[in-house]
Amino acid sequence: MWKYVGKRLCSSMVTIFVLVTITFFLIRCMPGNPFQTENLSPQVLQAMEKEYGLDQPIFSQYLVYLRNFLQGDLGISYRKQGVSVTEVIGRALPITLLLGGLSLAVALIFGILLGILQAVSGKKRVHGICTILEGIGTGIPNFVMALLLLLLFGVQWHLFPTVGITSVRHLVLPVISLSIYPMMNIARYTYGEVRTQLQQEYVTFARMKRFPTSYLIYHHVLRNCIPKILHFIGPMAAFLLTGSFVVESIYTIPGLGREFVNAIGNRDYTMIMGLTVFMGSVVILVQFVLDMICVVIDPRVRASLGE
Amino acid sequence: MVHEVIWKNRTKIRTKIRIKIPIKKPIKKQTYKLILGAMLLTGLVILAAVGPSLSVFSYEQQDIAAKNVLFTPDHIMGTDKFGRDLFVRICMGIRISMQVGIYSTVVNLLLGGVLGAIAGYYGGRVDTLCMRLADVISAIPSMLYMVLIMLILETRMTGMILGLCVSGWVGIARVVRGEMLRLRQSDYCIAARMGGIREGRIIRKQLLPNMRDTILRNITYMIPQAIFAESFLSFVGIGLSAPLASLGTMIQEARSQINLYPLQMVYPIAGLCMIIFAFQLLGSGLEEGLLQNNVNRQGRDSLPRERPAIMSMLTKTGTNRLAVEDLNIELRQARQDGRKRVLSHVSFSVEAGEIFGIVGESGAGKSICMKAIKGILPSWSMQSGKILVDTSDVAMIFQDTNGCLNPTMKIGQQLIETIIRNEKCGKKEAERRAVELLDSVGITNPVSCMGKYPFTCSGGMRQRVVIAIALACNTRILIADEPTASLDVTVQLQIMQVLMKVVKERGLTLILVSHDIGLITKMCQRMMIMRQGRVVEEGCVEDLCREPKDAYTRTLLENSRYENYQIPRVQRDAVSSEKQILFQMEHVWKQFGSIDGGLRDVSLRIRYGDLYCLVGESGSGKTTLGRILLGLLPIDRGEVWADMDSHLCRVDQLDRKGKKRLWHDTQMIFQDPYGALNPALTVWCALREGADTHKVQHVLRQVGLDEELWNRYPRELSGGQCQRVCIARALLTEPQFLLCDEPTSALDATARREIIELLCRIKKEKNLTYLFITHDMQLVRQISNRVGILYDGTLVEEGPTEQIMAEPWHPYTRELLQTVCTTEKSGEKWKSKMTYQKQILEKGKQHRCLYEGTCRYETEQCRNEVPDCYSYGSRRVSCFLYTEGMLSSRQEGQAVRG
Repeated sequence: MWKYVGKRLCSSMVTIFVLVTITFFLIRCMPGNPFQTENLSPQVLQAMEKEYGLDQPIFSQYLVYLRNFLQGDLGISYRKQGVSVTEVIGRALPITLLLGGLSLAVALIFGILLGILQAVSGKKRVHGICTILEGIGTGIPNFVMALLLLLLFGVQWHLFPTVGITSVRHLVLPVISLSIYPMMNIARYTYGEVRTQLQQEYVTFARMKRFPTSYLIYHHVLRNCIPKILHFIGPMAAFLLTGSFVVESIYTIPGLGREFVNAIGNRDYTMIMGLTVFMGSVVILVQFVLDMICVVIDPRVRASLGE
Repeated sequence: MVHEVIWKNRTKIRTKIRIKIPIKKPIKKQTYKLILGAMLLTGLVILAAVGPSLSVFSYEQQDIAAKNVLFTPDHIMGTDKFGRDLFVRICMGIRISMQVGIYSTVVNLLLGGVLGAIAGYYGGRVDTLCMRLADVISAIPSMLYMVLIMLILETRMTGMILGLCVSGWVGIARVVRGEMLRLRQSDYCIAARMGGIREGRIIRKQLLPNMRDTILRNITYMIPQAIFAESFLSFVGIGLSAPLASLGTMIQEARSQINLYPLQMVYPIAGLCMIIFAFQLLGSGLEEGLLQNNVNRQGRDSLPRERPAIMSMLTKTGTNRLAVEDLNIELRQARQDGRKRVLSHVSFSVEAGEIFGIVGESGAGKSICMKAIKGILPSWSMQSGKILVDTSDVAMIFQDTNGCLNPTMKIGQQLIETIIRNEKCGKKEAERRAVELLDSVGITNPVSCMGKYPFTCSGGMRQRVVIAIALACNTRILIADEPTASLDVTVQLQIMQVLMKVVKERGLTLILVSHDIGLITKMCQRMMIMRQGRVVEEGCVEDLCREPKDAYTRTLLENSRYENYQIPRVQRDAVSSEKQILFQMEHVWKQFGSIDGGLRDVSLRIRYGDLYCLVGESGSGKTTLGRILLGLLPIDRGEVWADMDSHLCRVDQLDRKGKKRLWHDTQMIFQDPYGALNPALTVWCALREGADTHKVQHVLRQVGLDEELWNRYPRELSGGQCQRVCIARALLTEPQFLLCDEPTSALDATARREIIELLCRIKKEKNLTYLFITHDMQLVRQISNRVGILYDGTLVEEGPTEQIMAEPWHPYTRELLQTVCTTEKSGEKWKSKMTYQKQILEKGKQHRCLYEGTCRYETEQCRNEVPDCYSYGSRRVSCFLYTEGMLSSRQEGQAVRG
């Protein structure tokens, strides 16, 4: 088992390394000089390039960047003078984490419940309504969802505030618009999983033991579904991250996503690079943690690792 | 004593009458989604193509006179803040979205398809490399890449498509690779390769048609995803920017005026959602269609669901414990709107304490009848008639021991929860009873067994646990639905003994369902024979055996005995040992990591004209041995020789050409006749692949397949007919050698007899050599002249069939033969003696006899050394009992016996 953990950790590290490398060289491929637009004199430009180390050969720049990355230094913003990327992350991360964590929790809880409801309910109407909800939830892109909610609840009916993040009420609309897409995806996936499990012979056999359905679902079926649903959270976390780009900029929340979109708008390359690397690493690490959780809770996985 | 603890004496016998009334309407075809999706999509395509030319304005033309208008005859959807016509812009937006979606999907499909196919086709290092690459790429959020690439390539269509393709191909590559691997290892693909068909033709005819469905389904998911991403990027401001009218850009532009002109935003949003919904509908319609197709193909029903039944209580004090009166069951067919009657007018009754047997071939309606009694029919069945039984007084044991137990729950837990539920006792008490129960079903170490997960136990152990759980339900009626069909021969006997013991001890009523009339006649007092949903005959076992009234019963009884087979005798005994060698294996080793099915130091010879039988339990390496002989699997160590044009060649060193030549002379017949035929080709097409028309006609007549069946698909044939087609295909290349890998284990008794007779007839006519893999000792006795017995990858004994049958040497052979002898004795009823579950030692230890731990004769030597193969005349055995040192004591024993 420890061998597997080590192996998985190594592959995560390699993936992060590849991410850093690709990001670095892609950014260097971008057209134009970062300071071109500012109408600077050639002397100042040269001084600036020297300050940011841009006069070095590209490979040594890369090595420097790698070394800094390992030390947790992601560079200094080109646009905001003297502000380092790590500072920006430190400021914006708690907000994004709060938003993302809440959304993930909401998506998981309601998604799983909805999926189970759909799978267990024998009524055609319940099934139909669930299917339609899932269709709508996964069919509408999250930025559209955010705008629609803003339009209806914020602009038309004035039910919730739409700007900033100062109270709990401020959180309602962003969390809903961020969580609906993953929620419906999880619901659809859970439904499929639970349905397949219900067809298994062990459920028929457990029914024979005179257990009510709720007990069956909770003690037998979910136990077998959870590892698979956990695997699904990885991609969902990535969705939440990219979703936060638009949701945060639409509701003007000062989180990572908004910083990223602003950086794109400003063509602030170090910022884009730093945020890309950071967010990519977060997703990779989340996937790693989920895999480890699966090892702990699923005896079959443990057995296949030769324990 | 045990049963008294658990068994609560009930004084009153309550019987409930359950009457079921057909409630549900037939399932509708799920095609409406497909039609709706296609209609919506066609509408959108027409709009995108024709829309812009309907208006006098172009999409970037600014009508300064009319900014932000809502509705005018010129601008039916109004204009935006620059005075551009919204209708035209939305049509353009839809066009761009579709273009992006379709182009990027095409590129992804090509890229992913090619890479996946290469990875799946070549396997090995190329495969590992491709998949590692895919892993790394898919681990990084794709949207981040897209942002970066769009920043580099700026706002152009090609850039957009390229950006979408960075990670889009990974999914399709995985799918294609998986399918490729699965299909390449399928039996029909192996058969096609062995039939000498060219690789390109195999890919075109065998692989692609079977992959089409999966790829199609993936496409309908990829297109909306691409559209989704494109509009997202445009919205963020790095996609296609003005003046190009992308829907995302339009939404972004309208955002600044959201308070004043919300409609400007609603239109593009509606357009975007329509496109995505259209593809979603198409995709899910397609998926449901395919799902049902597959269900139909396999002919399986699924989703057993306990239905709410209308119950009326009736107290009755008769001894009639279970009665079924005029039971009819119909299943709705998903595809043809009709219904299929699976049971008609079934009536029978089972007395308390009786052991009642139900016999029938597959499709006879046995299982569905039992499910009706227990009340767990699939939800789309309709039922009429009466079942007089208290459902909660019925426990059931199923065939599939692996599926029955929850894989993620410890055995003890599953047993304890049952006891707590049915006994209403505390946890401590339940634990104690669980141990007692496990002990009563013959598990040697109940406490350690309780801490195990089901998948770590052997099949026999699991079936014992299942019996224990069924007992814990504390019912008085036990239904055993083919309880031993999926177990090995030696274990089958033990399980039947356990079952009989507990039934007798507790005075349960047992309904035993089996396809094996021999088993039923031995176990039961009364039996019922079913055929195609009807009761053929019912009565006392002795009467039915002595003078069956119905012709079907007679054939069943006849076919169950191998002695009745009309088989041309194989030339037996010593003569064959002088014939030329066809195949030879010398000290072959093959390991699959920790998985069963490898070989350890196996040597054997097959001579011309032999019918060599290979016997062994599942996982003992029989199939592996066969495939190694034909060069389908590489070996780790050792030598494999085959006679090619009258000189021996190393099979394990043959190149592509050599293998082709080898396969021309050797063919294979597979266990699963349905899996061995390509589901996408008719019988005729499948055979025409490798030969000309005359030859195909000839072989099909030779195997006795009716001409009307020639144009059918495999799923429309019965198992026996499919197996005939497989034999015909094998005969196409006029081989000298046939490898029959359990050709009859998936067939009913009647079909089995036909296939065995056919195979033996062909052998005689064409003077072929067979390697026949089986687990059935009776069959071996009837057909073969030489037999080899495999145990856990070792050939423990080998020799002429008659000698081994008369005097088995190896303890394992003895045990195998014993099971046959016990089941063969007729008239004598079952003894309630019971064998305990044998302990399985950890497999890690290398230097020991593999049979050690299960063997009755084991000595110190067995635990520390691996026995060699000792030869005596034409027999070989690998057991220390037959070393030179033991010779004297063996002779002594013979003298005493003799």
